[in-house]
Amino acid sequence: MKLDLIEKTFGDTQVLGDIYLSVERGETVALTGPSGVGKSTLMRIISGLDPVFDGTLTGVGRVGIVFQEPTLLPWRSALDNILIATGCDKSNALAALAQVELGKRHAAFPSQLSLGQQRRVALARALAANPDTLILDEAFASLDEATASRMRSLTRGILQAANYHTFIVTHHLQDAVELADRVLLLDSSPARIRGDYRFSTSPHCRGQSEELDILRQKLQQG
Amino acid sequence: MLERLNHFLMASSIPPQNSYAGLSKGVVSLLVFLALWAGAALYVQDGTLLPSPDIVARIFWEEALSGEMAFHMVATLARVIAAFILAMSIGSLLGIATGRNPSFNSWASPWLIIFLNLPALVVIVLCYLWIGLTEVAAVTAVALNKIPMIAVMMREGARALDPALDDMAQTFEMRPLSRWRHVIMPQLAPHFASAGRAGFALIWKIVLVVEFLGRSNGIGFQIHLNFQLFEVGHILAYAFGFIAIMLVIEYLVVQPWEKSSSAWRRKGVSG
Repeated sequence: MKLDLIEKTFGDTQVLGDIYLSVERGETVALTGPSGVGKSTLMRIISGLDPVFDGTLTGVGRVGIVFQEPTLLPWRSALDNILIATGCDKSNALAALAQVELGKRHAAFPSQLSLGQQRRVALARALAANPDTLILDEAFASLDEATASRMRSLTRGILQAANYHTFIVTHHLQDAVELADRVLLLDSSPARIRGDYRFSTSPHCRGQSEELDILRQKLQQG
Repeated sequence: MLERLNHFLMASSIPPQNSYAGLSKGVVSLLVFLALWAGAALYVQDGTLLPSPDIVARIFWEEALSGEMAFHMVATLARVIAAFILAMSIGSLLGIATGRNPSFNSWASPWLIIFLNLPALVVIVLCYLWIGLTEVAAVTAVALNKIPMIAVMMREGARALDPALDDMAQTFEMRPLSRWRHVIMPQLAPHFASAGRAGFALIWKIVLVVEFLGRSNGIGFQIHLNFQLFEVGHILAYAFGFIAIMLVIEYLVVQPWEKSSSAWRRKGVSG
C-alpha cells in the first residue's frame, strides 16, 4: 500500500505534514511517537475512517482494525461480535477465536471477559475479516506487563504467518522491537516521519534488549 | 406469581425488596385507600357527591354486564394505540434525525421547543377546529401532543450513540441494515422503551380529554356525559375501570418490553 500525504488539517490547524509511506505485503510497520502527535489520525486516514485529507492513498484493500478500546458490541457474545462485524461464516469466526486462544470462550459476553481477553476478541475479529491491511492501534495499552507480553507473543505468532500490510501504533518501543520489521517515528508539529528504522532480523529471532538499545539510539539520532 | 402481583400493585419503579413484604405493603396501602374513601363517603353522607366503594363497584359491574363499559373501553383503547403508534413512529424518527444530524437539529430544535410548551388543550381545540370533530383530528391531536416529548427523549439516545462503534461498523464495512439492527438499535432500545413508557402513560390521559371535548364514544365521552348528569358514581366506575386496564397493559406489555430492551446487561453480567 502507498500513502502520499501532503497535509491533514482540522480547521485551520495542520496536524500532519507531508508523509510518504510505502508498505509491502507481509511487512509489519510500527508507528511510534509522543502522545498526541497524530499517530491515530494517520491510522484513521489509512483505515479509511477519515477520507478528508490532501494526498493519495492506494492499495489498502480490506481493513481489519484493533482499536485502542476493544469496541465490541456488549450485547453480543464474542462469537457474534465476529460474525456480525465481519460477515464471515461460523467456522472462520471460531478459528479466529482459537487463534487468539479464546476458542472456549466464544459464548462469553464482553463484560464477562477481562480487558486482555476483550482485546484478543477484537484481534480475532480483525483477523476474521481476512484483511489486506491490519491495524493495531495501541492494542497493548492499559494492560499489565504480563498480559501485554502474552498478547505481544500471541500477535507475533499470528503476524509471522500473515501476509497483510500491518501497522502497529504504539508509544512503547518494546512493542515495536517484539513485533515490527520496521519502525517509523512520527514527530514535530505538524507531524512528519523523523525516523525510519528497519530491523535486520525478523521479530521472532531477535535479541530484544540489544535491538531495543539500538532502536533507541537510531530514533534519537533521527 | 406473588412477585408479579406485587409489581402490579406497586406499579412503580421502586426497586423490589422482599417480595412478600412488598406485597403486604401494597395490599395494606390499597386497603387503607379504600378505607379512607369509605370513611369519607360515610362522613359526606351523600351518594350523589361521593358514592362509597361498594356502590362504585356495583355500577362498574352493571356497566360491564350491559356491554357499555367494554364498548367505550375498546373505543378509547383504539385511539390510545393509534396515537401511540403515530407518536412513537414520528417522534422516534425526528429524535434520531435531530440527534444524528446537528445541522437538522439546529433547524428542528425551535419547533420542538414551541410544541413542547404548547398546552395540550390548545392543540386539541385547534385540531378539532381545523380538521373537524373526526377520529383523525382526535388521534392527530393526541399524537401531536406527544411527538415532541418522544423526539427529545430519542434525540438524547441518538446523541449518546458510541462513535467508536460507528467507526468499528464503518471499518468492517457492515451493511446498513446490519449496522442499524446490531449496532444502533441495541443502543437506542432503552431510550425507545423509556420514551414508549412515558408516552403511553400520558397518551391515554390526553385521549380522555380529546374524547371529553369532541367524541361520541370512549371513556372520556362517558365521563363528559356523566359529568353533565352529575353521576359521580359512573364517573368513578369508568375512571377506575380504565385505570385498571392501563395498569394491566403497563404490567403485561410496557414493563416486559422495557426489561427486554436491557436484558443483555443482566445476561452479560450473570450469564
